[in-house]
Amino acid sequence: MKNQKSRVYLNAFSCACAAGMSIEKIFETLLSGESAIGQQSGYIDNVSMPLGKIPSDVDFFETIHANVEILLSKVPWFDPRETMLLVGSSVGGMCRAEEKFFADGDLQNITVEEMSIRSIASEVQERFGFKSALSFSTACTSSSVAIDFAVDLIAHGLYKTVVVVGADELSRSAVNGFDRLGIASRENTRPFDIERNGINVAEGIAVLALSSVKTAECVEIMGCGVSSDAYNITHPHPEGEGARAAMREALAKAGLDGSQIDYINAHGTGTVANDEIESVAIETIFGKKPFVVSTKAVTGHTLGACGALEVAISAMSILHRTIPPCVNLKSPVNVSLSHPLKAVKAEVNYVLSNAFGFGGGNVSIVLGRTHAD
Amino acid sequence: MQINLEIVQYAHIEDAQKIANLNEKSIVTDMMLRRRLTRNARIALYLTDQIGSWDIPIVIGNAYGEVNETFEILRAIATGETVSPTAFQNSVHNTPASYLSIVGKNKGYITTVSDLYETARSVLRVGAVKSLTYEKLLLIVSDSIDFERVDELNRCGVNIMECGVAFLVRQTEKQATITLTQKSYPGYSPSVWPMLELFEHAMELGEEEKIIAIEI
Repeated sequence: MKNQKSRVYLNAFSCACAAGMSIEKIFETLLSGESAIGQQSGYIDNVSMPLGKIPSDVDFFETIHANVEILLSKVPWFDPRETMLLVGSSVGGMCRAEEKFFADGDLQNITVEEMSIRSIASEVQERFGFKSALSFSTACTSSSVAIDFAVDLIAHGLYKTVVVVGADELSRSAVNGFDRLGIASRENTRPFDIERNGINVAEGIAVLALSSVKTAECVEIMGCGVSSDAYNITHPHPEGEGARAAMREALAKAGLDGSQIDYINAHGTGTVANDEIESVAIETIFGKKPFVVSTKAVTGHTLGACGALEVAISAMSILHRTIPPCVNLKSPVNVSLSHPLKAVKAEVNYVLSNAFGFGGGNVSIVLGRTHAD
Repeated sequence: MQINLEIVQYAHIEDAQKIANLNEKSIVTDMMLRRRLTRNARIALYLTDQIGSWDIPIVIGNAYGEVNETFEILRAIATGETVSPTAFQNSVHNTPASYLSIVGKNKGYITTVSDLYETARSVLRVGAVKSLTYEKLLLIVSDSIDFERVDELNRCGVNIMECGVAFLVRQTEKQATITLTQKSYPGYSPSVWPMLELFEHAMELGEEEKIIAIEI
């Protein structure tokens, strides 16, 4: 069994975040260079701050269902009854618990079922009849580790089709928490800028269809790297050791070297620590060649959803041969890197997408263009 | 499809209330770090210490996350107090995984699954799939629900407030010697039941080979 390895393809995706209610709209917003972050109140008492809110009044869970429905319509040959559902989320149903708790301070109206991480998988599985479901919760790498696991399931021939859902809703707990840690910016975030001062917390949904079947418009998931910093709960390793390990592992599994990567969709949160360290780690492995962009300046930091969302954005870059610009970047923290200030038309063959998280978890994913046989 | 896992070592701990001694002082010598540990992290560190394998891939699961820290944050927001940064950084589900990495200087694959009552089964499934990549893995399920207002949420009669089970496993082609029967353990969180049953079988088998087939 250990020797059976199938190639893994990303056949379709459907997303929603502050930048749009579809991946096409999100990509269009990214290319326009306009941030989708807006001032929001109601998350911290008496404070209005820039956050990434999905532009819809529809219930968050209903929006997840809608995206799964769109996804399945794009891959009608996916049979949910034979498909594994993997969810990556850091807050799960927390917002439902918050709504009830902040209404009357009573916990008796809250059920563990509705507030759990599992709530997303349970409801999506029940609605669409997926064969099986499993949920990962590793903070900001949640949906990235789900993708890594999906790759294993398909590569080892355990499942032919897997659906990955990355989803996190804006919660008061998260906004207050990041604010108290001093890393929630009160301005629009400026990833990789020397004057960056934090993240814009955001919500997002990304639903991906992965399989062993190469289709007309797909990209290949060529390799995933997963590492741990073993350093600090909130601060990344100062030399970016864990980040480098994840990127190197992803490259090795993809059978590529750093010089072959055209575009790096960086984790690029806009915090002082992350961007400095990620820049150094990227420079060490890739030098100046690949374009390095953080799309979080436009979408905000969608927490556990960001890995899946940014893999979808990376796939769009390959399919549309266009790299989005670095928005809000004036003076780069590391002048050795290539940060495009305008969208770039290019033959994007290979992309590496990073997601790093609280507790020192790191995931890198390499995507590649598929060619006609 | 099934993958067979051989159980190499196992450990278990539980208490009706807060487990009194988890050997924190000997396991975590840095006092500042030790003071910040969550209950689930303490249980996971204890179980890892019992198994004695720190620097290997780990799959860890908890059903409810860090309930003390989660409700501390909710309470602070509701009463207009400032949220504790430590409570926030410790509130994510992968907090035990992070402390295992830091204390064990483990720079490899560590992941966290959280599937409510399916959590133990999910840990076994992820462990089985990852056993095709890694030689050995440590699988841990723990849940600590010992917090002030637990009675308001505890509607399924859990009276063992802290429980954790761990297995060191590796993939094998040998035939299964253990069959899980979906046995119930009243008083325990259903999230740990399959791990408790597996632990019981492991104890019964003693020196004999302990092999379980995991349905993926």
